[in-house]
Amino acid sequence: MPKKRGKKRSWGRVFLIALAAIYVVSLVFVPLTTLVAGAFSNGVAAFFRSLFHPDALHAMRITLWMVVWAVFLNSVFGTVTAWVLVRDVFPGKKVLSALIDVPFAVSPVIAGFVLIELFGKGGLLRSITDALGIQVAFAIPGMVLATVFVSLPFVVREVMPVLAEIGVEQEQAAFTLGASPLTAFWRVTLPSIKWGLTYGVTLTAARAIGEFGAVLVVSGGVAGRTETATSFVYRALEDRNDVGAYSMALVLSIASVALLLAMEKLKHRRTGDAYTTQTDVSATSPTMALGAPQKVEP
Amino acid sequence: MRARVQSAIVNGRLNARPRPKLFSGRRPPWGRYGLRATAIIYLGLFIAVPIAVIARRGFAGGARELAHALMHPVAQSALLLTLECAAIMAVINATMGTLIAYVLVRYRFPGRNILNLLIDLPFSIPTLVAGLMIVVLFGPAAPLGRAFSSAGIEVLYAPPAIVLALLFVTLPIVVRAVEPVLAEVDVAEEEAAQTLGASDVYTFRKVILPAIFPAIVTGTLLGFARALGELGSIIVVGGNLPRKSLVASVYIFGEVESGNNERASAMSLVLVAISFFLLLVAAAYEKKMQAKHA
Amino acid sequence: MSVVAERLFKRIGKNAIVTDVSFEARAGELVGLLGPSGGGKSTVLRMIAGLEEPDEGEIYLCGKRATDLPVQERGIGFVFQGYALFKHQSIAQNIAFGLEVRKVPKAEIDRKVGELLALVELSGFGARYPSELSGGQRQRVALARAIAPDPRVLLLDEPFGALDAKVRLSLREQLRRLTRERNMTVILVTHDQEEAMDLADRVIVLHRGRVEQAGTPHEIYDHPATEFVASFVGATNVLRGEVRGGRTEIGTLQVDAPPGDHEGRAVTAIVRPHDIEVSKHPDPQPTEADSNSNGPNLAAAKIERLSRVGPTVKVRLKLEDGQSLTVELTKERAAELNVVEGDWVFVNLRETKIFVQDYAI
Repeated sequence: MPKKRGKKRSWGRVFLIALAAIYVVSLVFVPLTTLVAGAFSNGVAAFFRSLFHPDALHAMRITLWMVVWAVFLNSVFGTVTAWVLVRDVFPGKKVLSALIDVPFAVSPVIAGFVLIELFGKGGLLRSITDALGIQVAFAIPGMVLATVFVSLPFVVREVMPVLAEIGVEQEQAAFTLGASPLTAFWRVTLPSIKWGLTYGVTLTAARAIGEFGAVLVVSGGVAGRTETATSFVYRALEDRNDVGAYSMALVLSIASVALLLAMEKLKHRRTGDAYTTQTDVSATSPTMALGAPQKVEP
Repeated sequence: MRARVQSAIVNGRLNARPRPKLFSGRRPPWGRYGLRATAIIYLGLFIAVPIAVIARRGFAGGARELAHALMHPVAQSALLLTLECAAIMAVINATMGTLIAYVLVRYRFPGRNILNLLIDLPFSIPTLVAGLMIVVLFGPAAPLGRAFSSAGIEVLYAPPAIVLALLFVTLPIVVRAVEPVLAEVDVAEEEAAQTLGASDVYTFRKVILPAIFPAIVTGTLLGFARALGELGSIIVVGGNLPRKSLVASVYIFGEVESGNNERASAMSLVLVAISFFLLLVAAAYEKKMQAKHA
Repeated sequence: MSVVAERLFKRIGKNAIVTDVSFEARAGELVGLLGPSGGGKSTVLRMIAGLEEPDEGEIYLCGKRATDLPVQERGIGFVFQGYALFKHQSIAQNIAFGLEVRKVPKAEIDRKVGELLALVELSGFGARYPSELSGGQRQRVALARAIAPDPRVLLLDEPFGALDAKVRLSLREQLRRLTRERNMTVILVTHDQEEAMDLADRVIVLHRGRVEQAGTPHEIYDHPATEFVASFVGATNVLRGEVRGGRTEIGTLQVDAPPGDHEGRAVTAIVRPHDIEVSKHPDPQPTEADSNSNGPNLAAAKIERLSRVGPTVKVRLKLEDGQSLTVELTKERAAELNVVEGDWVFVNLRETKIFVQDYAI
């Protein structure tokens, strides 16, 4: 049956969908595919050769190191902070809460620069680190600090709403059953926030892999020593080593796509564990709906 | 705290006998204080200290020196270019972000999940890699790059590439800010408008837009703030020519590399101040709108 | 303005939501679409409004084919289940919406909004927002908004569903008054059989996407066409029985068999609680309601529970074969009987509807 209205309406719909799809695909997907083409432009062998270059391998190791540190520090302290911000009451809590988003607003370059100001030559805290015999600026500790800073908000921001949602009843129930606060946390709280925490960790890892500005500024990006995977890409570009840059960039992209897929899976879990399944109380028979209980069961 | 007081009351009632040692003898909650201190130190160390350093350094030489550093033509044009590119990006982002959010929330179509996934990609892909992709796409060897250059349009190593990089990096922000708010708008409200004779465009303008406008504003401001600090993608696509394609973040990077810490501080202070201001505005606006329709 | 639905079909995926639904609402008539949730009534209403397209079938408004007409051009008013008030607009703006769309002059809009606010007894609420009103007030705003552009047809989807009983009654009254005054054709979707019976000139019972019966409330109640209608409309007892020897046997009770040869078939008997006579002795005075029976039509039953509900007494009985039965007695009759829980009594069915069971269940 011909339906003028249906057609007219769906054209508008098709137009909007097409517009959105074309925009996203050309902005995100097309560049991604050209990168793949670029990495293999000199053949598969060149791709692997450039990845197995000692500098490249070292850079990947450093990046992995950064991810491990950022995930470890931010998940431990991030969970504590989330717990304090949700469950504790004390003056100045609002200010503390507002501080969490600061890394989103501060350019990573500035973050790296601040670390130089603190730990570089003539830095404010230089005398302390010198006395302790630790080199922070242009070394791994400074890079860890930079990475932790830029990825700090994720765990806190993901765990806070889940903690708020589950409420205190379960923890209190554990207390009434004789559990110590630590036991209650391990047995009751942690299992509830597990997926939110995992989601936060995934975001943290993605951010740590991708961080460039802060780490480069604080480390100086010395090849084979303090160079991360992203800094490697940057230096390879500067050195006109295009295949090297594309190859590493492709590895980074694959890692981020993998993390993205993990996030997508976790998204549903994360919301899933916050809700309890509700029994359907809607009327199953017309007589029930009317409140007429006189029906004889067959 | 509240929970403890409450359980003390319950205890008191249950055992009708008064418990004299209830308050005087209670051990202070050291565990709780410990956690609180940990959180404060963690955030203080990682966030409050850096802010203090920027502020201190920026004002160390007094307002005059700060102004002097910023009056430098290269610094000035870098700041201006950053704001311009971010503004152009913000306008496109607000429009397209809203459109994409609308399509994702209201329509079911094949490929919707993939579209949804692609939108999050810029959150996880290193921005430097994003920049690299644009370089490959618009480079002199690529067909697209050739087409633009033969048409006389400079994309790579010029402001258009910077805007493009910023669009990539900030793509998810408006979409993800608008999406949940739009999902909350009852489809029946749209239908009601239609039964009252309103066209689709009129319905969007009068019924949907007022509901999602605060989210669009917040998302756009967040994206703008994010764009001000973006380095990785721009350093690759921008070409970083002073007074032509050098943006503020790359300027800071360059000044730190060459040891001009005063100039780097001055620009940092300005960027941080603008970002904070924008975030405060966004938060205040959101709060106001929430209060209005609570 | 009349509304005609002609052989409407609608499927969503594999599920048939609406199957071959036809009916007519004549100009000025109030038609109730009654049925259990998920019965397809809302879908029918939305198809009439143009919010959903039928897979097959036609809609005629005022004698003209409207199947392909966009919602905006159908000239109908629609009251949504959850009211669907515009949250970001004030009450006055909500009511004015349909007039502004039609580019009515500002002064005229203001006058009309004031008038409508007074009509739904919400004068002085114009500047407020929907979130500041109670459920009943919101409902009235939704009604005022829908009738502001003077539609000839008003469609209401479970308009009183979420309201408490008292508010519901007064709003029902208001709806009837408003639509009668304006001579509007009204189609009301409801799962509340009392609401449909009270309001509607004609009731159409929908079940599983099909029309079970269409008729006046009186016809629906007294002459239900199907077992479903009989059990859905009004309080009922459902008893199982069998046709044997030209009679319907329900335990020890016997009533007339349905017309036709159904020997040996299982039947369902539907009895209204107030159509059952209760007596203490097996020799009741013959009443004219006994016409239904010409043989022993009494059964012993044990009183399981007595409860007083308003002016009536509800008696829950158990027949000897285990089937339960609820009887409504006037409080005078209950006092006269003077029975207590656990007593044995005799019941007599004054009026039963017998439906032969389908084998295809």
